[in-house]
Formats: sequence, structure tokens, C-alpha cells
Amino acid sequence: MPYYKCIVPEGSVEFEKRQEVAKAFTDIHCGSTGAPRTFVHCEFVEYPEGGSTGYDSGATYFMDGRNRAGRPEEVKQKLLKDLVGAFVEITGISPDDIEGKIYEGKASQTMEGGHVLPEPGEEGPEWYEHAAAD
Amino acid sequence: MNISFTCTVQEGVVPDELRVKLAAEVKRISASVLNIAEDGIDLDYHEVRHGYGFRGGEVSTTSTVGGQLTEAIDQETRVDLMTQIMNMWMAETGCEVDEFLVSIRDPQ
Repeated sequence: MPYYKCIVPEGSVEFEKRQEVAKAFTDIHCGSTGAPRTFVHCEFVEYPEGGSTGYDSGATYFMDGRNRAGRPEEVKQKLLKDLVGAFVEITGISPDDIEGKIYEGKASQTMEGGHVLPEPGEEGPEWYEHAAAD
Repeated sequence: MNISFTCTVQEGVVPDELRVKLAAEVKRISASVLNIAEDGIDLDYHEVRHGYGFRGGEVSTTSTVGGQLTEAIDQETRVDLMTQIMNMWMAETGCEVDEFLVSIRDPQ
């Protein structure tokens, strides 16, 4: 965790752009939260012509983020704005064509890297050592 | 009390025949830890196409097991379940600890 899922029209974002987006998402998330880089997951899901993102949104693209709960609202809003902004810049789509939302879950209900995830603000020194190693 | 799972694997990382065994083991462990019937546990796989999944900006080899409970459980039980599933998955697939994520979520 985090897990960022980008729902896109089939064939609209080539591999190089997908990886560029994934790297940008990793930079933005880690810069904002201090999370280890290897904890940042990004998946692209395509829908066929004539389909939709499947979300309650009229946008052509959708960014579904899953994060640890407990961060201040202004941090979450800036994170969402920066992630969507990076997607727009890298893919060249119009900002009007994408929407996004960050959903939250309790950190203590996830185990990653062999450890139960700490709540935001309760990370121990090993969390940052892991981040520095990457 | 019941639990359903979605296992997300990257294309080409976990062979089909091994997925059957992993599913059976996830169900067996869950039934044992939660004291529920094994045959009532649902488990589906979601495969991420090669080049469509990334971790830390690089092509991902990570597998995730996401469990959704119908009733809340205590944290000690949750950690026991997550630990047993993680240890089994690593032993069966040979993946590294950084290549596996498991969550067991209470109902919202």
C-alpha cells in the first residue's frame, strides 16, 4: 500500500508512458508521505471502445487510489491533485478528461514487507531506513 | 462469519498449476484460524497483464491477497492469519518478502 489503479481506454497509454506515470506516482507519494518506494503499487486497467471506467464519473480516465487512513485532509487533497496532474502532464490528455479519488483503509489490516503497516505518523526508524535503502 | 479473497498476481509470475494449490492453502489456513467452513470461502484470481503493473516505478512481480470479512475480528487473530498466509505464499512460490502483500479487512 498505496495502490494506485489507473482506468484508461484500451491502447491509449503505451508502456513507456505507463512506466513514467508509475515512477511519477512513486516520487509524489514518497515525497509526500516518506513511504518506502517499493511499497508504491500502480496498475493500469484498460476498458474497450464503447465502455467506461466503471466509476460514477463521466470522465474518460479515472485514478483510484488506496491509501492508509489517518492523514490530514489537506495532505490527501494535495496528493490527489499532484497525482492527477502528473498523469495529465505525462499522457498529454486534457485535465477535463480525468477524475480521481483516494479511498482509505486501516493500516493495521495490511501486512507488507513482512510487517503490519504502521498508521500514518506512527512509523518507526526502520520505515525510513527501508525508504533510504531504495 | 465468512471471508472472501481476491488474489492479484502478475502475468507470468505464478504458474496456473501453483495458483490452484495456493488457493487451497489460503482457504485451509483461513478456515483453521477463523474456525469456519472451508467450502464456504470464495477466492478469485485477478491477473495483471505484463507491463501493466508496477512497484516503485518498475515492472512488478508482487502478488497480493486481499481478504474481506463479513464480521470484524480482533487484531491478534488478523495478524496470525496474515502471517500464516504470507509464510505459506513465500514458501510455495519462492518470492521475496517484498514481493507479497496481504490484507484482511473488517466490514466497513
